[in-house]
Amino acid sequence: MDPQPHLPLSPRDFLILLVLVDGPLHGWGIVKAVEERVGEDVPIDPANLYRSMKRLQRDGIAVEAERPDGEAPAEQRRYFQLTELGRAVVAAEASRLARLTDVARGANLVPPDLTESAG
Amino acid sequence: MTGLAVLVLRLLLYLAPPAFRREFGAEIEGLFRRSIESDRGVAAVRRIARGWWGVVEVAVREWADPTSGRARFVGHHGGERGMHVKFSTVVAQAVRSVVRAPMVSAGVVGLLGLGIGATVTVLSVVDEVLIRALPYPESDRLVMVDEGAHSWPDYLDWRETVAAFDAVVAGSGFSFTLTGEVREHVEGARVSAGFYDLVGATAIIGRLPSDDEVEQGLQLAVVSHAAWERRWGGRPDLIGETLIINGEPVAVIGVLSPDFVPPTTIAGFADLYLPVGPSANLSRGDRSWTVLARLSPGATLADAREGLLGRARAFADMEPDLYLDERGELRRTFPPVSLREAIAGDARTPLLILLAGSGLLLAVAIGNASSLLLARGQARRREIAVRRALGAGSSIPAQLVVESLVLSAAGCALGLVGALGGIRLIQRFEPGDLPQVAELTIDPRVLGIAVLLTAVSGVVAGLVPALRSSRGKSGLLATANDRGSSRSTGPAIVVGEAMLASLLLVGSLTVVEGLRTLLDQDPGFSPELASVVTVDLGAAASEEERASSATLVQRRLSEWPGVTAVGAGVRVPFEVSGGSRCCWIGDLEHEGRELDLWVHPITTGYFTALNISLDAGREFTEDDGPMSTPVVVLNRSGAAELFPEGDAVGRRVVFADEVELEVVGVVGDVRHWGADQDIEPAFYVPFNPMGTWSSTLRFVVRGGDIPDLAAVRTEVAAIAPEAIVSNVGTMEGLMAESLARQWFYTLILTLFAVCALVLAMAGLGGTLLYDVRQRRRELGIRIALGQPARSIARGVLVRGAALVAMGATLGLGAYWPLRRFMDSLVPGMNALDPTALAAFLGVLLVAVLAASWGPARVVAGTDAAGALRADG
Repeated sequence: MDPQPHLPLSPRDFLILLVLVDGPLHGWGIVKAVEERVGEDVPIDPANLYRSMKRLQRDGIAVEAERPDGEAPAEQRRYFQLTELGRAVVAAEASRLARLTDVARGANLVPPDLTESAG
Repeated sequence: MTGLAVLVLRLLLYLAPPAFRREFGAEIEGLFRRSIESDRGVAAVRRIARGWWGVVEVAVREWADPTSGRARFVGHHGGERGMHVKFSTVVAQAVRSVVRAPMVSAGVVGLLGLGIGATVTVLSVVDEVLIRALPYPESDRLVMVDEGAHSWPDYLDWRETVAAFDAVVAGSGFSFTLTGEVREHVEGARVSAGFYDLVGATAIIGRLPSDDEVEQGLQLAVVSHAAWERRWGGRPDLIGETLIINGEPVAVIGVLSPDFVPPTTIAGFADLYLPVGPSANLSRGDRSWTVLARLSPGATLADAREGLLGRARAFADMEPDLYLDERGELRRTFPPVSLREAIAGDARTPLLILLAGSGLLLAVAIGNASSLLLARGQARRREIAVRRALGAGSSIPAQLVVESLVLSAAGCALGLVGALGGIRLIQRFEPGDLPQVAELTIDPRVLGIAVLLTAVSGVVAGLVPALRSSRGKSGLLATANDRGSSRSTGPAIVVGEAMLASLLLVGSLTVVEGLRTLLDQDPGFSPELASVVTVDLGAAASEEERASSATLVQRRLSEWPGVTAVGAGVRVPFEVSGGSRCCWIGDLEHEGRELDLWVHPITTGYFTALNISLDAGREFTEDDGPMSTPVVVLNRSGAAELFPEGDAVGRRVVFADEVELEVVGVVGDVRHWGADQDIEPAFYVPFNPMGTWSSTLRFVVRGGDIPDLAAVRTEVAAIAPEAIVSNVGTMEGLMAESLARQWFYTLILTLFAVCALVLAMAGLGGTLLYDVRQRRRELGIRIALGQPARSIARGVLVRGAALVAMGATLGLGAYWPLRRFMDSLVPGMNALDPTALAAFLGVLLVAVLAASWGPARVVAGTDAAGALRADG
């Protein structure tokens, strides 16, 4: 399974896949996780989220997950999780961005404090 | 706020491809709701806006994405981004321009929203009632034999002899008595062989009776799905159980599928279906069956008409008394009508008129939006001229149209929200003429039409300003001088709008006034604080049992705390209304004066309980029974006709040429058949359970706090086990129901009138504004030469008033011939009285002032030097 045809990811798709790395989440969980980690730089609205999920599922990057135990069945919620391919894609995208960041750092475009925290 | 935001989102979701909406709609809605509930204030508003916009964006992309739904892996994202850029630049530019003129934009959105909302509302109803195929197989071949109900032998004859029909069935709504733990009424129907086949009904559990079983008269019951769930908790083992219906054991053999609805011409609602069987009366004089038929393949309605007419002649040969009138002509010809038409019934004409009205409203709204955009174009002449000079000439018209499309899309969303509200209103107030609207929603096809209307509105409204912009000369100096070349059509539109608004306004004020009059009218009794308890004394009970039940129930009800009086009648005022009359007419004669009057069988206490005034004599007492001298109480009109000289009490009248009755009292007149109906002569006789009257009594209970149906039912079951309480209501409720039709049309007409008035005001305001803007230079010169701005502003007002006056005159003129139609719609509400006329003129004056205020302010605020400089 070659992740290359799926790159580059749009910022939104990348963020969604990034928060799914830790395990299955439902729609609201994805939105919350993205907002907690990166703020509202890339706002995710419900319709675009599900459109992304539709496409990611079609491309075999994400799949619907089992509803965890203890979740009220009346709540209509779908859980999503990464596939093996999905993990490969998000890792490949992260490496790609890291390489690009290195290039930018070489051109002194990345402020020093950010360089440190980015490690 | 959350609810409304979610509602808009749900509507916007309809823009997306159906497959996407079905798969993710509920999820998107749930997530949207959650995300806006998690924030407050500005943050929540931002989420709402982002959520709405996201849906629009996704809808466009889903439709535009050629790979949508198909597997594709490579090169996908590039294509998508290309689309995104194009989409957003075109729309973003339009949106920027729209936002820069918030007042004009809001006006255009509001106008188009109004027009689209009204049209979609009416269209939804029209679609449901007149267009959509009935839910029966080959419904275009189904017909009903008109002229009301028919006799069983007639039905049997048609089934055998009319070649144009390949199936003929009969049916009728019935009220059954079901005996279980308690005895209760169940609404149902009796149907003939072939019924289930004709209407395509199927059983979800059990089976339906075969035609042979029905013909043999086997009593096998079929239960509706709703009743199965409600009454029997969806128990599958109901099949095979035996119910006691009308005192007879009947086996349940099937439950109908949940989507089955009976044709309303047979029964509006039925929980239980039984075969006609041996209950059919074989007399040709007993007409109680609705007859439906399916045309044979290739046969037309005309063939069926021919066939039925031939049978009518044959019937007349057999029983001339029944089928021929005194001149020897056929009383009935049994014309067939399509089932669709039969079900739509009287609603067709008002609906089509409403549809035409809403279409007109939309057209006017588009016209207005167009003139507002034109006025805005006037203000943007410099911008457009600059852009043209910079070489953007050819793209300007397109840009203007896209702007107006953006506005109309927003108008569409607003209109759909309005339409949902409109449909709720119709469902709430619909007087029973349109039984189908209970389930009404905005159907995808109607939604498609709305989108189409939106596109058309957007293009048409933007076209005039766009064309005008493309006709303008190029160059910065061309702006102010082309005034003479393009005369505005605004004034003509305003006159037309004012005419339409006046027409609707006068109509609505008239019906409001009429309704007020009807409500103020003394019905002859006091409905306040009076409850009505309907009790069936038991069709199967013996006469003694009925008599004792009636007495016991009346006594029990009068013991209720706070109750001051109880009396019962077979009919109570307003119970049967809307012009239909029921049941008995009696012939009274006194000294050669003979009169047909309505007969109302009542118990003691009836007049007191209803607060009907006693003019003379006395009420009935317990002693006025079958064993005593027969007595009668006349109403005032009846007494006046039979005893013009006055002294009715103590005199004797002859009933039906044989029984002598003593007049013991005269009571006040009552509008028995509804608040909108005339008073008619009537007389009251003591209710006699041994007579031929119906076994149902309606007890009027004055005062007290009558509990709900279940509680009353338990009480009555304890003292009179044969009796069944079928309903508990109030006299005020009956009164409101009797005026439901008036309320409904008043509401609709008023809504339309308000819409039309708003449109006319917007049109007037827009036209005057356009005018003032165009004459800015001229006005600046006049002010510079010393003419006070106030006098110019007054001129604007006078011009507005003149246009509206012209339209109003035309509107009033047009209303005159329409009064007859109004009268057919709502009887007794066609008078154009001075109050309505004064109110009309008042409203119009306020409207003119309000609409001219803005443009007049513009004039008053005109700064002479600025005006001269601006375009100079």
